Parts: sequence; C-alpha cells; structure tokens
Amino acid sequence: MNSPDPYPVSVDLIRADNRLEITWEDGSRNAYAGATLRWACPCAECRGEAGLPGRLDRIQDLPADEVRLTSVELVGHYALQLGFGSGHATGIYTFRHLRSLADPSHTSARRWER
Amino acid sequence: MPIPSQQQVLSALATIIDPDLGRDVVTLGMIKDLRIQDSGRVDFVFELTTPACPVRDRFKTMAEERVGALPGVSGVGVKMTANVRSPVRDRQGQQLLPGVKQTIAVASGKGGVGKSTVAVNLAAALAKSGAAVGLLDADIYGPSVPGLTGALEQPQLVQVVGPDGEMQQKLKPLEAWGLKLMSMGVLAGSDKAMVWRGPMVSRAIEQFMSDVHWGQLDYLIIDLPPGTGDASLTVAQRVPLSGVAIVATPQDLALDIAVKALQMFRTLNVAPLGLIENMSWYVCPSCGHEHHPFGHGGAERAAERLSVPYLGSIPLDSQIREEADRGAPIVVAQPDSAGARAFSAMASQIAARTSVQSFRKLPVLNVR
Ligand SMILES: Nc1ncnc2c1ncn2[C@@H]1O[C@H](COP(=O)(O)OP(=O)(O)OP(=O)(O)O)[C@@H](O)[C@H]1O
Ligand SMILES: [Mg+2]
Ligand SMILES: [Zn+2]
Repeated sequence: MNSPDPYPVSVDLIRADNRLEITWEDGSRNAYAGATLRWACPCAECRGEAGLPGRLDRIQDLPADEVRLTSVELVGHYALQLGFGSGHATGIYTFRHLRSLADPSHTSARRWER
Repeated sequence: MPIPSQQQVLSALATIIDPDLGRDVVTLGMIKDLRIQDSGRVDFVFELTTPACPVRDRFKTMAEERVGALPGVSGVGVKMTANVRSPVRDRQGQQLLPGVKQTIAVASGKGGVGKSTVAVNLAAALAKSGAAVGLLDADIYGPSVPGLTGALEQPQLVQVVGPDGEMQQKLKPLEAWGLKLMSMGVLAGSDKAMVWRGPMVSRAIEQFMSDVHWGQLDYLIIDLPPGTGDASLTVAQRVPLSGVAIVATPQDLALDIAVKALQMFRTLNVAPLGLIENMSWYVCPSCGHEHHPFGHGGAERAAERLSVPYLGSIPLDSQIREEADRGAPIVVAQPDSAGARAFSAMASQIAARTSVQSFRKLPVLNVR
C-alpha cells in the first residue's frame, strides 16, 4: 500500500526572506530557501531528458536572480509551480517531492537529490 | 457488565486509519448509524468512498475486531456501504454532466497500447464492485468500445425534462455488462472513419457531451483517442475531469512516450491519477510461472520519474485479446484469470485515487 500523499493546508511565499513555507495536513511545517528549491527544480531542462544531463548537472553556481522566488501557483491537486526571478517557471514540484526535500526519510525511494 | 458508550465505540474505530487519506475513519465521516443495544450488541454502517475500495475487507475485519474487543460488547454488526463523492467543481462542470460524480479519462502517448481495453475493463470492474458506471468512447477517429462490448446498435433518442422544466431530446446510452455505453462513433456511423478538422472536432465533442442522458453515475470513464490531438485537448479543457490515467507499454515507458500526454494534461490542470503499464508480463503457458521480459519495477520507476502514482501492471494475456474480440471485458468473462485480477486491482487503485482528491480542499496560497 502506498503511504498517503502529503498534502498542504497552506503555502506561504515570503518574498522578503526568499522563503517558501508549507503547512501540511498532519500539522507539520517546513520552510524552504529559494536556492534549495531552484536547485531541486524537476523540469526537463534542469534535470535532463532521455539519459542526457540537464542544465543543473552542468553548472556549479546560479546567479542570485535565478534563485529568487517570485511566484507560486497550484497545479491540480498534487503540485506547486514555482517561478523564479530569472523567469524560470517550468518546474512542477509535487507535494511528495517537496515533502521529501524537507525530510528525505518521508518517502522511501525518491531520487531527486543531486 | 456495563455496555460501552457511543464515545468508546467511536474511539475504538478511530484507531483505523485510511491508508490513502492518512486520517482516521471516524474523522472522515465513514461511520454512520451507530446503535448500541442494552444486550451489548453494536451495529453501525461503514460507508466507504468507493465500492471498489482496495481495503474494503481489511476495514471490515478491523472494525469488527476493534469494537468486539471492547468490554461489554456481545456482538458486532458492520454493514459495508459506499457513497462515491464528487470533487469540488465549478458551475460550468456541473452543468455539462449534472448527474456524474467522478469523470476519469484514459489516455496514452500513442496508439495501440491497449487504452480501450483498459478503459472497458476499468469500467466493468468498477461496475462489478457495485458502482454506477458509464463508458464514453471519445475516439471519433477509431471508436472501439462498440466492438469491445458487443453494443453495436444505434442509440435511441429520449425525451427528458431539462433543468428549467422544458423537454429536451437526448441520446440514451446503450447497456451491456452492467455499463452505460456511448460511442462518439455514432455521430458518423460505425464503419466510416472520420475526417474532421480541429474546430469541428472540438465543437462536436462539446455538443455530444451534453447530448447524452447519462442519468446518475458514480464514474464516467472516457476512452480518449491516442496522443494529444484536438479531441483529447477538448475533453481535457471542457469536461470536468477528476483526473486522467495514462496507459503505456514497457517500451513506451523506456522511451518516455507517455511524457508528452502527461505534460498536456498537467498544463491543462488535469490531475494525473497515475500510470498503468500494459502488456509488461505474462503467465507462461508451458510452465505456468510469471515471466517478466522487461524486468521488475520499470513502471514504478517511470511513475516516480514522472511524479505520478503507479496504478498497476496488466499482463500480456491472449485471453484478454480473445475476450475483447468476442465483445466481452475479461473482468466479467473470466474473473479469476490473472488479467482480470490485475484489472480489478488497478480499478481499485484508480477509485482510491479519485476518492482522495474529492476529500481535499485546495490549500491556501499566500504571497507576501
Ligand atoms: N494486456 C493485453 N494482453 C493481450 N492483448 C492485449 C492487451 N491489451 C490490449 N491487447 C490487444 O491489443 C490490441 C490493441 O488494444 P486496444 O484497441 O485496446 O488499444 P488502443 O490503445 O485503444 O488502440 P487505439 O490507438 O487503436 O485506440 C487489441 O487487439 C487488444 O485486444
Ligand atoms: Mg482505442
Ligand atoms: Zn527547471
């Protein structure tokens, strides 16, 4: 049986601190730095496709603009779409992905870590 | 011995956690009509969110055991029922399909992967569990539901009373295998392949959706055409979908062919219910063992890579094809076969996924 999918009750983007906060259904709360989220972007451009490395595999640093959170939108009932200062907004961050970013023990076999 | 209070019984039941929703069954409102008699007999109704609930039997046993273990209880009667809930929906969606609670699209990245076979068996499995189910073949280019179900007649027109009391003419779905069936192929006649252009397709689908008299349905399964063409796009945009299940073969998964379809639905805000792998393993006719020529776990890994739930693997089974060719879903025709069992398990997973969604309110988003 699958473990229940994590689900948020509220999502706060605090631009001044470049931080995203999520309060989950089970009452727990996680905070994420913009840079953490930007480096975890799951989009094809960042992660690579069909066995090829993505952009984030090839670089060491990202300019400040790239890691500055600007927007957050809900995607269906399962994910958030995050926008960054550089205009990059193709990453769909599933709740499960976000939860495991904050607490890697939460899911058994997520391999988002770089 | 004193009999237990309502509160004690509910506390005992509150130790049962729904594995998909992550909350206890009392909080979720699943326990109804609790009655405790002076003799110590306890009766209640356990209302599931789908009759195809994958943990139905486990819940029943747990409920009997936990309540039965309370001091003073002389007997426990648990009546298992189900009430499929509708997701939160906008008004437009309500109007297009007024009596339909959950709408599930079945899609694929390319043709010939067994999408229609999956759609028919998913519908039949849900109906077999006790749900009211409709199946819409939205593949105007190559409708196959009539052939797969043997429902080949032309549907009749019926007069029904509309929302404002006026009479409306509607298409009455055909019935077979406990399902209500409608194929968009009836728009053209079953033997003519359609050569329609984009805008016409979209208009015809929209019109068609409101022209069918489905009545009350727990689930409407929609067999989409393969790929991401106009028809799939229109359904995804105009029909209030609870979600979409994507069918793929092991080869497609290796080549990420399902990705494009998935991305289209995500862009349109249709939740992916998950990934179904078809024709990935088989029961060897000579030795009777399961053979997995593509290895184990490929679909789970693909689902994880695509951030969607994994809904199950359907074996390559000549019986599935033979029954389909005869116009019978294998879940009804040969319910004990490996193929039928795989389809039923998949249907339960899909039903559970849709239940989860209808329970959840949208989170509050704040940008400061
Ligand atoms: N698990 C299976 N085992 C054996 N045969 C199967 C299985 N699934 C599908 N088939 C067979 O494969 C063929 C294609 O299946 P189906 O028509 O369901 O695919 P489809 O994806 O709907 O195709 P289309 O793109 O034409 O709509 C049919 O002959 C069907 O009987
Ligand atoms: Mg088909
Ligand atoms: Zn990215």
